Amino acid sequence: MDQTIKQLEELYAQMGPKLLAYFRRHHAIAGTAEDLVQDTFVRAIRNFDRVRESISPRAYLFGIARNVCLDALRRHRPLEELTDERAPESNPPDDARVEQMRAVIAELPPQHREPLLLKLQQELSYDEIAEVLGVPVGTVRSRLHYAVASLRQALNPPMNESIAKHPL
Amino acid sequence: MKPETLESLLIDRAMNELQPEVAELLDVYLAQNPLAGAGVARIGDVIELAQQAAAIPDEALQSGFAVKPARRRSWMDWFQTPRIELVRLAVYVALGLALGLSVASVWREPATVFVSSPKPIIVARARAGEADHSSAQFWSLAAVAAERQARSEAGRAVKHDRLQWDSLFKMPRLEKNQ
Repeated sequence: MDQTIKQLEELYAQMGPKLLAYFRRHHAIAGTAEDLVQDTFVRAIRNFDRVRESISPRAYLFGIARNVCLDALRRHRPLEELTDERAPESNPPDDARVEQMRAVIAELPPQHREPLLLKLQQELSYDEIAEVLGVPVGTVRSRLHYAVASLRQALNPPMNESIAKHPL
Repeated sequence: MKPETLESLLIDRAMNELQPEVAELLDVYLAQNPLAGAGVARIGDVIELAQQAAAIPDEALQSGFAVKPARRRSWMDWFQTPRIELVRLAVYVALGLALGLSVASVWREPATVFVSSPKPIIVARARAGEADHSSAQFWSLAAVAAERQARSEAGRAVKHDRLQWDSLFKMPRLEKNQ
């Protein structure tokens, strides 16, 4: 029992801030981000054996957090005023290319954008993203490749021209 | 190496998802093909830019999940129902009609229902001036036996009325038994 509590505390210390940032990125539910983190851990505690047996507890928690987030967005009603409490912002983008990149990412299809953001924001591995989304690793890889290719095409001329000139 | 394969490897490498031995082989290849290595820098730039863009909180980036949120159905959805659903509905209605007609044909025979009329109430009456102490007195055994006999006869003489119900579409009528 003590061992379980200790593991849980470590997991909370490690993952709590990341999950908080994850929820706060969704402005519609940013005001309830702390409640949603607690909800995530309550759900995790109910099946804590599965968290322990999971290949990556981090991915398992993000999977729960994703479901919690979806539930919260579904039942979201703008009853309470949202606080301006957001994840710590970096400097506003001076580079016009960063702004352009944001627009391109926003236009990606959700099934390509979500794994890309899990990779870039949460630094999850392909395996972990696959566990979070409940899809095969190959699907995650192909979606990420599609997303990066779309970004590259939007910002740069096609790279294949230079590669094609030098086949193996 | 096909350009698509090289591009996939470069993306995996930029995402730190390439196995070390594969990464070494890729380095060797890129060393032999310096122009192909130009793609490394480009993809690295793209991913670095994407990381910067993703680090900025922006609702537009987070607005979509791969799973669509639940939506309340509206009456307009009826018109978007696939035709197969309408065909299925028509089949169910036809089956229901056929079943209903077959049951109605069975019930077309006039049904007879027996309704019991209430039993007659027997009231014991004491006549004035009959207060003798003979065996026919009210509280005598003979009087009680006679009353019980009368009750049992009355119970057997229950009359039955008939409820005539010829059709489902007509009101039933009660026939009095004479």
